[in-house]
Amino acid sequence: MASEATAVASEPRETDLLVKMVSIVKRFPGVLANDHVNFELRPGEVHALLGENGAGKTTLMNILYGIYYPDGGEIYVRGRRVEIRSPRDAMSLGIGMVHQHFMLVDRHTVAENIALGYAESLLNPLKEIKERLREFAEKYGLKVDPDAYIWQLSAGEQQRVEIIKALYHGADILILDEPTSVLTPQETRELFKIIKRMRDEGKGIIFITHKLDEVFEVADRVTVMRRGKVVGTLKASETTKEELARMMVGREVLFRLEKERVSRGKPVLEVENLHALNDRGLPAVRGVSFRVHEGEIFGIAGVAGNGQRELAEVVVGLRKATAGRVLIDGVDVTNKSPRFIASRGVAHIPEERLRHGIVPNLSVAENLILKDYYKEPYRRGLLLDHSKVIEDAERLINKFDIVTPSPLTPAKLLSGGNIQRLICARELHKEPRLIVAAHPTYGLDVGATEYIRRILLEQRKRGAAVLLISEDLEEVLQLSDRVGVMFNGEIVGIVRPEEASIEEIGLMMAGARRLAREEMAS
Amino acid sequence: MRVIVRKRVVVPRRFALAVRIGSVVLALLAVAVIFYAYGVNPLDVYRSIFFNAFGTKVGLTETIVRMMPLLLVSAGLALVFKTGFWNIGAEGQLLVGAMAAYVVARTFPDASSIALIPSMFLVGFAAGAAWGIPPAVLKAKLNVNDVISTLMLYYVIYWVFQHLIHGPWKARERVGQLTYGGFAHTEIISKNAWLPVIGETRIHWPTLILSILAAVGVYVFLNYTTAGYEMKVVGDNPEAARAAGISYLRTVTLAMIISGGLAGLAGVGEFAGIQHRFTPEFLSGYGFTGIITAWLGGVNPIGLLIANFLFGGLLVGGQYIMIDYKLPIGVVDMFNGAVLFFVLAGDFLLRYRIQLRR
Repeated sequence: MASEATAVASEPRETDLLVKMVSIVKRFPGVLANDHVNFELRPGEVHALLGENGAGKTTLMNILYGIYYPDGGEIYVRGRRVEIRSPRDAMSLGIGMVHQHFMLVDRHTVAENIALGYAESLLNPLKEIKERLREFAEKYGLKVDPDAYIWQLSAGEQQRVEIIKALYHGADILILDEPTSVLTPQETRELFKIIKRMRDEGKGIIFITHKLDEVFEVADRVTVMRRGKVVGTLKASETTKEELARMMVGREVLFRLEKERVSRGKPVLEVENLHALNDRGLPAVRGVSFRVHEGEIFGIAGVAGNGQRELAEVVVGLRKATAGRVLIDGVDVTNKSPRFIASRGVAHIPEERLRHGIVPNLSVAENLILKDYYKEPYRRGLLLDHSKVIEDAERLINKFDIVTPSPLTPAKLLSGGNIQRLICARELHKEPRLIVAAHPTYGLDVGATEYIRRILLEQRKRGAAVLLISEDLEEVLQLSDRVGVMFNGEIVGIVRPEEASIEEIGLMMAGARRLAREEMAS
Repeated sequence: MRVIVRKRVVVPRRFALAVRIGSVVLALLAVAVIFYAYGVNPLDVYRSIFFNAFGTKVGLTETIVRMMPLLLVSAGLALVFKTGFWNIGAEGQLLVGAMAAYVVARTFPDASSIALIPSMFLVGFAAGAAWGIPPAVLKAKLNVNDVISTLMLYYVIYWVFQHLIHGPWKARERVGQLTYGGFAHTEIISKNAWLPVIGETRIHWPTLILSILAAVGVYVFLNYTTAGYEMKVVGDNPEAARAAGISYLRTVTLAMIISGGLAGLAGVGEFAGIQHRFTPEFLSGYGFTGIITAWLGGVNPIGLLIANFLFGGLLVGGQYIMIDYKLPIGVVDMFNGAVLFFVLAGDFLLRYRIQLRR
């Protein structure tokens, strides 16, 4: 560590810098995504890039990785001026990137995805890849089935493949775009170990994140961006969480959400001995039972791919249960249609909001009526009452603070946070009985995350039951009244956050510990 | 030199229009090379096409005659394309519609025009729709590829048609005392079943009215009805549609009923308005050309009218250049192909930004 400290302390010469980006400008229609941004990466450092969504940090890194071409500015890699026109250029310069949105071919297997552009042997590259995959699994604990198809994998598993892909071609400049969001605390710690090992080998790691704690855990320096500009670059050891948050958001941020005591009412959602299969036809939910009451947030914690997604889909009617029952307010809704279940007062904030949550080319207003268009007051005979649609859209846009140029703007042009607000507005304005929220803050910035969490707490206060599925353990613990931990399709424990330690929950998530029925919090 | 391709976030309306027009212009240039190779001056050819299609009274009315079936077919196709379903078999649906009109006209040869003509259109619509439904159901239930199934069903009905006009439907001809089956064509239907035309032209006005109603109708349907809303959702994000409880089967089937039905109407018009009997050459490719004009026009009545009017003119003018310049009939088809090619390529331009870097 001592040598590291001196490296950070003494200003390195220009040619020692791994990456130097000078005055980078990038415009998108109507947005200045990067406004004369300067950024540098030294060898042997972990440099966190911190900022809200839409702050321009991913854009900046996409420029470095050759996905976007800048409208202005210069890039130097190892002191040499370079033009990076494609990811291939970036790779040949030793730059690797793990994206937030996965760049994998769905219909190919893990090994085949890695073979695309990475394999060294022409003949039978899969053999070579499988061997090296085993190697990675042992060395880094990045376990993944090389023969599984990408579409069968959960978000967390897909991200593991992405990390392996970047490691595979031996990059010494590694860009990680919010890599920990789908890992358990143990896995995160493992990743941080890998990151530190690579740093000690002299590699440079750019770590895009909005989790302030991670900055202090893993980064040497941090560059904060806001609205396309760099607010400042600081040493992690010389700053505080509060200061970074202020730089990021431009105002003070509440870290502790006020969670009022709400007395719990009668059960709204009852899940009894539920079984369901995943997309591969294998058992994914295996005998799950729990209840969620009025005024209660029931969190589901677990590593991606342990049946949480399937559980949520069965509850909202998007997946068939093979056994067991789902009751809403005492009414059996097992294997009923999504529309019927929604009509019982079930709101759904889906995982992968772009894929399941919105219709990208339709307007904000049209997206807001997605669940109601077939009912009064929007439906007039066979016709759709456009003036009513727009009128209500304007009301919801104001009420839920959706930032959009107009109700007629295509939904795809909104930022991630505003798309989530749109979904919340659509799902929650009718005061649902049950809210199924899957990864509601995944990929959102601090401001939007705070907003979504506060909305869930408000709904709880109103008397709604909330089933919260999230891989962000801190979020689950902070919001939930009770937490069920899922492992391998089963709930291995139900605990109260104030009574359980993060360590204990982590062990349950990893399948190393299991509570007896009588130990579970009810 | 390196080509960089990036996805566009926003497509400005004016740019979209410019690309559409540019595609047609580029197609004209590409085909000009072929004309040149045949030793004729492309400018002369284009001038001749333009003059013969739009510059004379006969040309203009014939252009409208060609525009009507194209408009019907392409209005339905533009709508069904919005749902993300590729109906390539409008030619078959058109043919089924025409065959249904024949059956109606032959079954009730003495019925009045007032009864016959609406019945032919109704039955023709139903028949075209019926031919369009199976691919929709197959796709929704079994994920059968829509391009393949719609196209193959065209071939199925085409050979059924060939069988009928060579056999059961073949006209009996009388020479002196002898009755025999001669050429492969059917009887001419009774005059009561003929569609009325405007003056001396071949414009059968019931079809003209229907085709304009169709172009306006699909626009209103898509943008002002809940069923149209469902189609937009299904076409843009089928998974979100499912989550919202929108039935893929119902939505796509309805779109195919409309698309197949409108193609069926085009077949009725072509049969009862122009040809009045079937010959092996009954089909003239409106079902396929309609794919191009649907793509050019979109679900927009003005766009559809312009695209189909121009293409109608091209078909008319194309006949003249075959005669005037002794060019093979394939040249017009090639022109169609070139336009489709450039329009599709232009569509790529709309969705992606292409930059050259050194």
